Formats: sequence, C-alpha cells, structure tokens
Amino acid sequence: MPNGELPGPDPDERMEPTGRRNSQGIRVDPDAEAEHPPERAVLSALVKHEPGVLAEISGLFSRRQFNIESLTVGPTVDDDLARMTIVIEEPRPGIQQAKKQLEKRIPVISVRELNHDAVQRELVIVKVNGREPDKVNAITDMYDGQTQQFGIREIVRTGYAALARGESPTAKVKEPNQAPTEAQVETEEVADD
Amino acid sequence: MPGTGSFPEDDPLSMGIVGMHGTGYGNLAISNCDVMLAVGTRFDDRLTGDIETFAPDAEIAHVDIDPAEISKNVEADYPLIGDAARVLGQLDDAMPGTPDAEAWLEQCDTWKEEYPLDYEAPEDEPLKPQYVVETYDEVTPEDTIVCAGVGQHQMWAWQYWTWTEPRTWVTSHGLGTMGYAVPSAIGAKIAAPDQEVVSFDGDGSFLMTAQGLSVAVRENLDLVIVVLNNEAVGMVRQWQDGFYGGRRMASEYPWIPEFDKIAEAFGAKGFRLEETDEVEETIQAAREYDGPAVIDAIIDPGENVYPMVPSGGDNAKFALNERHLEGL
Ligand SMILES: Cc1ncc(C[n+]2csc(CCOP(=O)(O)OP(=O)(O)O)c2C)c(N)n1
Repeated sequence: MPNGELPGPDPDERMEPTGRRNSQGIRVDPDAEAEHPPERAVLSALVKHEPGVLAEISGLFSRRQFNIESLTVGPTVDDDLARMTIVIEEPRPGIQQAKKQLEKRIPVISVRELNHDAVQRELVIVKVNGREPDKVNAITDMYDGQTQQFGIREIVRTGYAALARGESPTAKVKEPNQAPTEAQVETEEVADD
Repeated sequence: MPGTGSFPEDDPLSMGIVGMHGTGYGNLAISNCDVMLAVGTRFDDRLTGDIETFAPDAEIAHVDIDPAEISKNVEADYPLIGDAARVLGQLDDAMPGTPDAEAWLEQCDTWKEEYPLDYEAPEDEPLKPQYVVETYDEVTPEDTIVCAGVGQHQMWAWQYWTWTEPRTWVTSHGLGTMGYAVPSAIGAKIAAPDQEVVSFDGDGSFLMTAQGLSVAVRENLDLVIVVLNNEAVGMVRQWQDGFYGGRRMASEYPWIPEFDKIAEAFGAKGFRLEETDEVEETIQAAREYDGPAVIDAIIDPGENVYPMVPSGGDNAKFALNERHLEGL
C-alpha cells in the first residue's frame, strides 16, 4: 500500500455512538441544546504580597482565556498578604475551573467565590462636558449620579472590590502574621461548591 | 501519550494508543464504550478531537491527583482525586466481581482484525520507517528506553514499538518541541545507565540539536540515534498535502547534510542505511558500538502517518488513506 495507507472499512461503515457532548464536554440529550449560559462570578483570592503575583494571575487568566470583567489587587492588614478580587463572566464549568486553577498557584493562599450578597464596590470617575462645575455637581447629585445629559468625555473604573458580608469570612487564615502554610489555611467554600 | 507502557500492549486486553494518530481499534473502542476509567489523563485535544463526539456514550470515572484536571475538558461523572495506584487499588477492592464483558471484548477483537497497523516493506522499494522501528524493537530488551523528536518519526516510533514497560517512552508530548531526541537520549542514558537507549529522530528535528552529540561523545554515552530521514519536515508536508491542496511550502529541502558524516565529525559512530535487507545488521552494529552512534536511515519520502484524525475531528472517523482525509 502506498504512502503509509492502512487497510480497514471506510469511516461511514463503522459503528457509531448515539450520544453527544456539548462544547463543555458534558453528555447531553443529542436532540437538545444544553449549554450552561455564562454567569457573573466574584472570586476573592488571598495571595502572598510579593512581586510577580499579579502578572502570574493575570497571565493565568489570559492563557486559559477566561472572560474577565475586572481584576483588582490591594494590600491587607497583614503586610505579607494581598487580596485580589476577580470578576469573571463564564459558564458554571468555567467558573469552577478558574477557581481550581487559582488554587493551584503557589502564591495563592485561598480562593472563594463570594455570594451575591457580598459587599461589592467600584469607583467610577467620569469627566463630562460642562462649563460650570458647581451646576454639574448639583444636577448630578439631584439625579443620583446620572450624567448623560452632559455627555461623557472620558471615564475610568477601578473594577470591583468585594468582601463577604457579616460573620462569613472572605478567606480565613489562622495566624495572619506569618505566611501561612497549607495546613494553617481553611478555605470556606460557598454552598454550591 | 505519557502513560504509554503503563499497560503492556502485548496483553490481549490492550487496545493500544488512541487519539489523533492512535490505532483504529483503540479509537473505535473509546468512541463506543459506555464506561471509561480515565487515569491521569488531561484529555488534551490530540486525544479527544472534537469534544462533542468524544466518548459520547461513556460515563467517565476520572482519576487524577490534581483537582484542576477534573471536568476541565470533559465532564467527569465520577471524579476520583488521589494517587493513581492507590485509587485503582481501592476501586479494585470495591468491585463486587468481574463484569460480563464478553460481547464487548468480542467487538474489540473484531476491530483489531479490521484495522491492523499493517504495512508492506518490499526489498526493492525505498525503506519503510515502520520496519526500522519494528526491527529495532524486536532486537532490543523490553526495558529499552525510546526517545523521539517531533513529527512523523515520533508517531511511527509510538505506533510501531510494542510498549510493555512503564517509563520507557521519552518524548516531549504536548509540548511538541522538535530537537528533543538528542538531549533526551543523553538525559535518559545518564539517568538509567543500565538500560539501553535508542532515540528516533527526524532530519529536521536532528538539525536543531545535533550538537548534543559532542556531550554524548565527551561523556562516552552508549546510545543510538536513528534519524528517519525523509528529506523533509514530513509532518508539515503531510498536513500541506492533506489539508492545503498539496501546496508544499518550506517543507522540503533541496539539499540535506549526511548525518552519518556529521556523527563522525563529532567523534561518534555514523551509519548510513538505505536498504531494507540491511536494517537488522545496521541496527546491531550501532548497538554493539561502544559509545554514541547515529544511523542515517534514508526512508521513503512519500510515507505518511495513518490512522489520522484531523485536528478537532471525530475520533471514530479516523482516516486510513488520503481519500478518507479528503472526505472528512
Ligand atoms: C521547535 C519546533 N518548531 C516547529 C515545530 C512544528 N513542527 C511539528 S512537526 C514538524 C516537522 C518535523 O520534521 P522532522 O523532524 O524532519 O520529522 P518528520 O516529520 O519528517 O519525521 C514541525 C516543523 C515544532 N513542533 N517544534
């Protein structure tokens, strides 16, 4: 047989499975379209406060092509630790995968997906058209921050910072003044985990 | 691919290797099975092809030590996180008995008969790479370590060697780094001085790290590099023929160095192999040489690797020839 060709029946003469998976690798009813729709998730990661961590985490998200809405990072009361808040929009399997990939990174101490009732804040600075700043201020106050009528010139957003509400910890670390070992860390997972 | 050898291929229950260049019978078995026990695999795209057609009837029990691998590409119906040996032991203990799989095993045997990895190696035709690999396998001990570069030669080595021992297949797997064959052979020989080491390389891959021979000579490492020389970056040429209407671009060379002489220049032993009836004696001479040896095996330049599942294709629809490829 020339060119490495091999014997055997043609593709359309072979046994065929009846099932199907969706693009997320989940077995589905072959006649139904059952993809998980994307949803918004807020992940909070407690990480070692050291150079290169932000690059490592953002690199992880870009390499694995997670759809990221915002990523913020800032120090905590413990000088050795920083907290990242990552908002992603992904189907549920993608969110689970993002959490697992984060947990795998060495500088990441704990990861938690926050409930929808978590305290979430974002700062937005808007530059609008208008000659008299006092009036602009008064009107935006009156209309609860609405600025459309002036026309937005430039805008900047910080991305979300978020903390779990009340008794529920965003990440629990037993001895916060030392870089915690794996055994010292307890990660609290949300109910759906 | 990294798990090659962990289950002996000469066992009647072995269905060989699967995925893009896997066996026809292996790919039909994974496509049609109803339960899959997947141990330590990351379900990479060269294994799964199109995710939507991958083992679509199978409930999957996925054993892995890394939770991030579970349901990453293919959903695990039964995620089992832990050390493979331990989890398999526990599963074995938990099994109430041996399930009746007679009909399934019969089906698997039929596929093996229908889709053999057969080739012909007539003595009056150009040398077949498959024959070089099989002959090498026949004359060497079971625990021989086999290394490879990246390309067609790597796939032939993988397909036509009969793997019976774990940790004997050393290649760059998903990283796909050409030039791996010489340095990995050196590493393998240093790590396992009591095992025989052979490395199958392509002419293109060999040109990337041939200078490693100087280390092999300096350290007097007893290893053999077999360059399956098709005077082309063959895997690229195969894709250009199969998927780009035969428009060959930068995949063939107008001239290629003589690798046996390169070997000699480095102080290694060089052999040139062109004839099918000289395969065994050349292999034996290279093995007997005390130190690094290079066999420049001039193979049939038209040879392609089959079976082949095109990138992102349905594993069950593997091509056995160019006509199948065109129809896919
Ligand atoms: C460093 C590197 N460059 C390019 C590629 C892409 N590539 C994959 S196989 C191949 C051809 C390999 O040719 P050769 O080593 O002669 O082996 P053959 O396919 O002819 O057996 C190329 C260029 C690669 N995998 N690695």
